[in-house]
Amino acid sequence: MSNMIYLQSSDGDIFETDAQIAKCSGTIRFMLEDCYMGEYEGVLIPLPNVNSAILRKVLKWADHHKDDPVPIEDDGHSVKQVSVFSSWDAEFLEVDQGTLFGLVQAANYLDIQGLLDVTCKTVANKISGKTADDIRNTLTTNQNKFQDFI
Amino acid sequence: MLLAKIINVSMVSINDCPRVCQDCYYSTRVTMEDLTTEPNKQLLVDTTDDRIDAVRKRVMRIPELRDHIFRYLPLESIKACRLVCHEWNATAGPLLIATSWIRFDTIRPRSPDRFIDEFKRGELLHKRNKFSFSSKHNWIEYDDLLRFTGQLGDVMKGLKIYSTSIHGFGKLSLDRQIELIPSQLTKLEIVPDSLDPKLIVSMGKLQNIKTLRLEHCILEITDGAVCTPVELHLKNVDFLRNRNDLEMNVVKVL
Repeated sequence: MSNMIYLQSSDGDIFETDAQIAKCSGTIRFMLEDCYMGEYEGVLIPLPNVNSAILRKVLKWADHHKDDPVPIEDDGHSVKQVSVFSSWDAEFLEVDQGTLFGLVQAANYLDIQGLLDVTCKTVANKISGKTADDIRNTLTTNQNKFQDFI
Repeated sequence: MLLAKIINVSMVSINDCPRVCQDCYYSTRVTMEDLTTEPNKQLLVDTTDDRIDAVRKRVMRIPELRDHIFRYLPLESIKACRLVCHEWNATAGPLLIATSWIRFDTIRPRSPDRFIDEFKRGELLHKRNKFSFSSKHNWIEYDDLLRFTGQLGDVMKGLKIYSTSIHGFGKLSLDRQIELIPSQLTKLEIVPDSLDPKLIVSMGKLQNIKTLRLEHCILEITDGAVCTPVELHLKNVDFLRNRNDLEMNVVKVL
């Protein structure tokens, strides 16, 4: 049995999605399970920090990974092992910087550990092996380069 | 509190709420089928430089997210991140200290006690928790090593002993021989080049271990001890089931 729910992005678009897929988000899962006690068919959840374009991508990622096992939490004190991306993830994350950081922000806000891991790893790949100057150049646009890192 | 507020005000059924219906009228309804195809209506990502910089800034100004990203970086890149700006340094600095190892690989023999004396003036040593002995040129008295782990053992998370000659081990009592490993270690690697007699590692001390690599050692199996490493490499390791076996076999080995 599928429970369809609705997610509203910051710019007003409403996305219809299966509750099981949406529950890969810890934030949404908490809302559904704690506030609706399992009766959440047709519920609308506003997500004021996620715009339509990003929410669309987040749901696409969640739909693809809906059968993944629950990730094991680490102690947070160690350097993470270099995880191998699936080719689907690699292709999924071939996006401009605005979208990539938008996905990091959304994954953090929605508490989606798997998405947060792959997006942070992608950002780390952009930084890895570069000097401090190169990092500044990589992560900023020309016009803002000099005022960003103070 | 904030979350509760949002839930009370906004989490209502889409079929019941006139506000939502009004929203639907003005907004786009996107179904699961739409997600698998390219959108007909272009959902614009604002790719202007200012918008990209604003998003990037928001993300990189959150210390937890910086930390999460930096943990995927190799040591050299973490060093580079320290030089980017003060905020990045505030995250990368502690991470660098937490993830780096203190390695004893000087050509001249030195004891860890001497190392502790040299660093006592600074506080740096007490922020470090991973130590490595990894040079053929190193030799060390087992007693010195015990004193070293005795002083720093309560914070020690990682210990590697590679190719280091350890002297005076065989003369000690069995209790002293298994004292070396602090119980909160998460990473232990003992790969001696030539160590005779073999070091004894008690499984009772390995309850927190995540990475375990032992070669040419004796592993004491302790009743009731649980050891569940994520990474495990054992080579030429003798297993001893209990203290009686240990005493019998070790005496034989020694």
